[in-house]
Amino acid sequence: MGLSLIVGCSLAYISLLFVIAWWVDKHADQGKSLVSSPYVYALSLAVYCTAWTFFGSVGRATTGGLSFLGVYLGPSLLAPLWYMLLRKMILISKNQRITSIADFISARYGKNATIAVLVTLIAVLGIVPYISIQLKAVAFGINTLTHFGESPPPPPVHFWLDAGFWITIAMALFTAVFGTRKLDPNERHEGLVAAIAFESIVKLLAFLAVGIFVTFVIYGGFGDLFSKAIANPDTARLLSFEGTGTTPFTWNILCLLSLFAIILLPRQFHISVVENTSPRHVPKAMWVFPLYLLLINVFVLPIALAGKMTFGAAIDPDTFVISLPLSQGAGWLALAAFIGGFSAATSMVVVEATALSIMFSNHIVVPMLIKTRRFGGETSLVDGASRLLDIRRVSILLMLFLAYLYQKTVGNTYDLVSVGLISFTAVAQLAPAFIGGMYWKRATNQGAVAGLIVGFVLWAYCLPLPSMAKAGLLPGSFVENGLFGLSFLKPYALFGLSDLDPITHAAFWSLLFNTWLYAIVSINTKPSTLNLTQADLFVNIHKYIGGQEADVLKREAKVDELRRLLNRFLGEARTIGIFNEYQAMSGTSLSGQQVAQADLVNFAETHLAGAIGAASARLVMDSVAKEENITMDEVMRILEQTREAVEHGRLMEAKNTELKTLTLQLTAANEQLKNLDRLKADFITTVTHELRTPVTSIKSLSKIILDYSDELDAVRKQEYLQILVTESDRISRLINQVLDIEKIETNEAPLQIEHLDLSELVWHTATGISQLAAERGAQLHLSGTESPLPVMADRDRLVQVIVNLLSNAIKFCDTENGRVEVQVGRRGRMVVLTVRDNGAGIPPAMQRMIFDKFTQLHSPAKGKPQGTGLGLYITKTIVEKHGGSIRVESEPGKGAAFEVLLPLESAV
Amino acid sequence: MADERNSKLLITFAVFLFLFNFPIIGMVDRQGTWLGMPLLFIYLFFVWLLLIAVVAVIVSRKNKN
Repeated sequence: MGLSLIVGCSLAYISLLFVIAWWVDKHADQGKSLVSSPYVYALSLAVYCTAWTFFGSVGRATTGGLSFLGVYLGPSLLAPLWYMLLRKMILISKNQRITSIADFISARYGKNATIAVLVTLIAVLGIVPYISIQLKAVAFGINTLTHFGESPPPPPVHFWLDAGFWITIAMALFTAVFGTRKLDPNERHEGLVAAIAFESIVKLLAFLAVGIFVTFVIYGGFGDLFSKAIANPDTARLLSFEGTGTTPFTWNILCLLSLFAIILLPRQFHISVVENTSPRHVPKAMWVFPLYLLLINVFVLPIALAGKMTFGAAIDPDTFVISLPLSQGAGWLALAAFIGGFSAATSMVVVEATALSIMFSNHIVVPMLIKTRRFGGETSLVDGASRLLDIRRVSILLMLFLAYLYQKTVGNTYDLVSVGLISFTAVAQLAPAFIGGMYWKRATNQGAVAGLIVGFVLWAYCLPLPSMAKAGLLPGSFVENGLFGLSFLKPYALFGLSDLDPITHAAFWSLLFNTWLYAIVSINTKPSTLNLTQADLFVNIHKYIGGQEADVLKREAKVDELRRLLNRFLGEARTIGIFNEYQAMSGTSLSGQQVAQADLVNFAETHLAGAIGAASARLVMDSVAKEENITMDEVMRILEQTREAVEHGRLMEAKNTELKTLTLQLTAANEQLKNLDRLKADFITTVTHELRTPVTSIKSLSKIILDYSDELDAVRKQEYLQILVTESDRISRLINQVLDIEKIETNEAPLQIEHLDLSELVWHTATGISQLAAERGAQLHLSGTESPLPVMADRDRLVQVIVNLLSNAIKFCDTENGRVEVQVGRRGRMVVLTVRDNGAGIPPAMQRMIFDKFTQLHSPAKGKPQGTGLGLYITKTIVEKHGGSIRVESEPGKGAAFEVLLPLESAV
Repeated sequence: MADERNSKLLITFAVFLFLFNFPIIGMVDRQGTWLGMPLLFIYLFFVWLLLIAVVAVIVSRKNKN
């Protein structure tokens, strides 16, 4: 296959990526996000699958069998925890405007610059081998396509004749264009994300195409392929861990390394956290991304087996994906496979280099420039946003060139996965500081520094240095005999641990000492003020969401200086925007203000951190802001006060609720009292009114008798005196009744309960009252059971009830043919006393009121009301005190019937 | 509700941590086939698919609520 065709296809593919990225960026500039989707998010996460996955896994499977799957099972296993972990990372990063993994870790440990530098160094040096295998894979791919079946060509004399060199240049350019297109405050590059998601589709389809071709075209399906592989002892051993020497410990370390890699690799952090458009995309990605990993891995083992059976050891297994289709004459499929691998490599390089360049410029170059040149002078090197972008572009070129060098010198002697795993082990060194920082508040920056340094040193000593020695860049004696000839310092058998493969060995020792030192130093050092507040923010991020950062730093700066500073880094337009935003947010005007308060300084720093990283921003701010030092005690006091305030607030709330219920109860009681008071007043008014009427008539009649005693005849005098007696009676009756009510209502006179026979009592009383009936011309009829009706009652009170009812009936019955019927009997467990008259009856409207105080019926025949209006009220009260009830039935013109129900004695 | 989902996911993680590890893997790590495919191969991919399905169910159930 011609080189020009391959290069042409590659260039066409890269142009397509340019178009996609440009198109998406254009929409993003108009405010329309085309990448804000959980599927795009999951696909962009698949940047995890690089040329390692595409070419290297097959190569690894030819020696290690299924153990290559650990690299993908680790991340898949972690996926369920993303809901907790990844979302927390995203929330913290959005809150703190974090733009890289170095930024994240340094921000956690008090925006510590040393940690930022350390993490950046570990990441850059650790990832260089990883980038180098991408370049190597592409060069391999081109070589396989052009020279398949020929003996390998002699290496080019000059580096500019080497395809790998030009690939490096092309990739660096592409990265520089998309990764550093503009200085975004949040480091978001939508065009880049879209291109990555697209590349993920391309590499998956290409790999599946090759897999299906190998499995179903070259062989007759999985069954056929596997049965042939089992028949061949050389391939049969690849089908189990035992046959490939994969021990449980090796497997665990591999899974652990890749589990860390999925969150700690700078490009994974960049895509999953920095480029994340919404934490809501995480849940869907939790299963879409592992599904992607599964799909891209299904055919790895079949391709490896087929390649091994086809070529034996004649061809580098890392190229099987391309050489298998070529061996069957399927040139176009081989080209498609190359494009897939090319796409996997470019996506990795672009994102990784972008992420690393952000870290490199923010944490190493900018702080250096700030320190060497007195920042703030007119001759400053860092002049504006474009200069910052230039630094990033240069650092991208630098890193890719470093990777190219590594590949040329060291990388060629190893297969792809072995080199990649060196990078995984390096990145895993960030795990203790990173994960501990998110869940362990007590962790200090000293602990993090100690852990990172020891982890990094052990990693370097056990992995890259021996490989460089093997490549001839270092004297090889320390690998053979240990450093200074000390055998326990052999890099592949540290402290005598010799039966592990180099990766497992290095990962074990470095992670062990890293974690130990991190923990031990942490608990033996005191965290600084800022460290403490940041630790609280990271561990308890949910407390801070929506709120402002705890305002512990009391800093002041001159507004003009602050403005000049922001201008320099962010450009004039964004600076004005930030100041406007602050004014709108705080509701203050900065026009007349000389000194910027702490909140503005912090606000500016957070925005600056978006451009140059937290540690650098802090350094820059320190140059203009005077910080009032806060002691530890003060911070503790602030935190303590906050806690007390919260506690106090909770108590107050409880008290408040209590008070509210109490107030309600009081209001109700007051209402009741007011009601009673009004009733009492009404009562007194009515009583006095009732008393005045007879008193007036007594007074006037007595006066007449006194004044005109001589002129009055005997009959008239008799008549007047009779009225005087009647009215006096009425007064005394009224007074008696009022006293009765008072007694009954206040329970002053308790009931004298005794055994009584209602029958007998009624008969007795009725006999006594029959005289009155006869006087009124009314007939009294008694009826009812002869048998005794035992009740428990106060005799006098019960007599009062009967008298009241009978006298009422006699009073209101028909004037001419008056007839009163009294009936006693039982109904169930009650005794019934019914008193019926044949008078005018009671209008329905009045029936409910007659038992109230001072309700009087106007007898149409007699004109003015009779009685006091208290009789029925007293009757009802007495009956109810005895546990009975009273009611009335009446139809106007047909008389009224009062029915008293009292409990039978046996029922009491 | 989010807490409940978190615990479900945590349990899922714990269960599959064991399924993807020795000694359980050792039980299928031997010669032999099932449906024409090597035991270890079919086991790893089947459990993997199961993990994806379980996570998908836990995650999407909440979305409907």
